[in-house]
Amino acid sequence: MSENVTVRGQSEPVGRRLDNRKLGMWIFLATEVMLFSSLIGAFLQAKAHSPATANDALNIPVAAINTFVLIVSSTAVVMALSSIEDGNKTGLRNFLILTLLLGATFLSIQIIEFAHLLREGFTPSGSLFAGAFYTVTGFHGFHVFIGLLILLWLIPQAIKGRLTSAEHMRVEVFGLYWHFVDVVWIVLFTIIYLL
Amino acid sequence: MSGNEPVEPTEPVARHRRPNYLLVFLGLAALTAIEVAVTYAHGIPKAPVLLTMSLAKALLVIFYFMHLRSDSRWFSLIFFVPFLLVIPMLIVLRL
Repeated sequence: MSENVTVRGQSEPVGRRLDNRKLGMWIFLATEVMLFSSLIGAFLQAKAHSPATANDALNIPVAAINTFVLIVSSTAVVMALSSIEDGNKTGLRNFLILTLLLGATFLSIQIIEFAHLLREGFTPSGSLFAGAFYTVTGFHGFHVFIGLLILLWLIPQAIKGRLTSAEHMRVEVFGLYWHFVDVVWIVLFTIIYLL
Repeated sequence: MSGNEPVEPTEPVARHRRPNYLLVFLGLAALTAIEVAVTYAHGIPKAPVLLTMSLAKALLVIFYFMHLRSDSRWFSLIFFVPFLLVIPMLIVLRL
């Protein structure tokens, strides 16, 4: 089909069209790269001016489990997208619910970790390193929380069957956001806990 | 069709070329396990090894889960251009 077709107010050859929602999400993620990089830069500075034992209070196995949880949740999101592209609404619903549960698990573990660290005296005002740690991980946790809210908006639509294979872009755009949050955690896990 | 008549797309704009998601997941899980093992190991230059594995994991997610490998080059351009500013900044800050 070589003629121009108007789709939602845009007149471009169909095969070469970029979806506006997806384009918007990629631009948003580019700004998020700058934002998180600034936070990571600040964290690296704080770490460079802290004792080598500054991150001894942090629990690597717990953070590793959380990393695994987030990786599984990212896999669940791509499986949800595959399901809806195939028109499998049950698969879409189940994988989105699994993502919600895994995201909530990640956030719960992080809150429990924060509570434990605070009880141990690792407070934001206690040291430069601790302040930077809570800022970066807290900001990331806030992004996970926003992702959970989006899932709470998407899942009822999936349950009611409103998301069809032709209307899978909402799932894809959400997936981009969720995967990016996963990528940020992958970097944070290494920089904060392992190094 | 009259030419400018709005129509709803009847099929996905672009169906993704699907990688083996299970394989990508296994790669991510394995790299995470190796990262943790390296942290507790002795006699290994930890920083370069851990940063390389972290970068590999991030690229696996970006290229395969976010489909940047098979999607429009415009998305790659938009996403990676900020790193031209960010990487020098991080290097300077770390030094």
